[in-house]
Amino acid sequence: MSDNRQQRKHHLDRPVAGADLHAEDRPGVPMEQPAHPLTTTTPELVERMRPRRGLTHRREIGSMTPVFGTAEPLHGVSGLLRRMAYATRETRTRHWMLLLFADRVDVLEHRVVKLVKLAALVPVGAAGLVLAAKMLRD
Amino acid sequence: MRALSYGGPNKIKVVKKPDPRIEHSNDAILKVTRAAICGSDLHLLHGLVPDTRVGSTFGHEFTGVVEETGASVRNLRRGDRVVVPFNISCGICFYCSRGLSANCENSNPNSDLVGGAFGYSHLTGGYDGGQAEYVRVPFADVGPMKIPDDMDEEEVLFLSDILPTGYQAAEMGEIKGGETVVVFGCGPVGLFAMKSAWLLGASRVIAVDHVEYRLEFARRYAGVETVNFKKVPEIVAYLKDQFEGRGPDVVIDAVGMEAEGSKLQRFLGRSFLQAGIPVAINWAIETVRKGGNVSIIGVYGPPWNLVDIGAAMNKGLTLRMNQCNVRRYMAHLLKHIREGRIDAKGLITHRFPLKDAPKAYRIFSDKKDGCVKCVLTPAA
Repeated sequence: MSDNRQQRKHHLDRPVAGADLHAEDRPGVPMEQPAHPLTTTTPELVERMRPRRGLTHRREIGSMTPVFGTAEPLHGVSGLLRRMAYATRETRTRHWMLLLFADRVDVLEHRVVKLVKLAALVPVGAAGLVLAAKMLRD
Repeated sequence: MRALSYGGPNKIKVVKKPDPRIEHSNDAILKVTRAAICGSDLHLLHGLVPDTRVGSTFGHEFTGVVEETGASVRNLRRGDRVVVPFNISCGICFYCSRGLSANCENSNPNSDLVGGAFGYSHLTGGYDGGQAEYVRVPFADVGPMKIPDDMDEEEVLFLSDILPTGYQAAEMGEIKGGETVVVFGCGPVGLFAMKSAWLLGASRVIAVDHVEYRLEFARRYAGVETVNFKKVPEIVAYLKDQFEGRGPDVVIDAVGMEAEGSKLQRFLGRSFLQAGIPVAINWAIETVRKGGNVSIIGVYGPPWNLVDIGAAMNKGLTLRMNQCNVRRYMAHLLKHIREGRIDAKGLITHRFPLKDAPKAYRIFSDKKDGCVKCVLTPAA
């Protein structure tokens, strides 16, 4: 433990201490406030984005929320697993286990694709070497 | 554009990705000027957050310059400098209109647990984050706050997350003046929670961690007493003894799901038999006095954790928690920064260009080189 008294005195002497002591200086009190929109702008805020392929929503809602991210659409086996997960309610263990499993499958899929791409380069590289050797001989 | 890309647990790199574009009339596109790495980004990096997809871009603490706005955006114009809350909030749904912008129901189609957030897996809506040259910002009329002309990006960067988060943690502790407070975790959120505990009128603040340089930083930066839990025989008993054997009035968990301190809990967490390692919550419940308040701001994931809820019930504790409703704190905390009560920029220990993001993550994750907070400078 560091020097208790000195630390305490150091901070209590500064104007920081108790600056927000009064409830009216606390933006989050009460945490749940009477309903009041955070913005004066318009119903366009909840205009719905155009649906996309390869996106998911939880089973409890019938469609995508008005706004959503489009970062990494579903693909491959991991995509199938994620579809299965989102077809299950998130109160079920299966939902979360499928998502975690899909994450690992996703990594594996990307590694396989990378390996295949590398493997595809081998014949090209070999042909290049043969050609270079032939040119050197000539 | 160049952007950070997740490649699986502990694998990230900077790659070329398509530029983001306006996808909704209230979107804006920002050119990112600063993007911080958050402690909660490490949970993503370590593969602990479900539905973190390969190729995702992390980053939920950023500032930027408006490049383009959608047709319905009224509050922003091209060239405005803004700081953006990590929550993506519509501003008008049931939750947003009650101030609970972290719980927005119009921005996350994938889970009922949390609202939308930038760069934090598809569980929070599947949005790319700000550790990139450009980022799409939905609900541009609601979240972003313009940076005052006389302030630079780094002075206000942490209004995007960790400063309001630390403040909300202290506020949820219901400090009314004179309370004793223990904060578990001397990371950036913990440091701001300590500062905020003083602001709210705490009479004594003790910080707990096991990383010596961070304890030293806490003493210097937040003026708190500190204890290294690895250097005392039993941390709960030790802390109770500091408060006449009863324990403190308030305990704040600013650690989250990757805590040290229990081999059993770590084994269960690392092997996915529970969602992370809730050592700090259990210590908080055991340490706080009967009838006291436990404020949980450390991030925990679904679906379950071994938490000593029986002790909490029998001790008559109040447990309060939520993701931070960032927007409601921004103006208030900006005032504290302006008036010198909080030196937010003083937390930054490391700066890196975007191309060095993997190195920045490594240093931050390994707690090397005295690292407290890393900031990326994508526009550099």
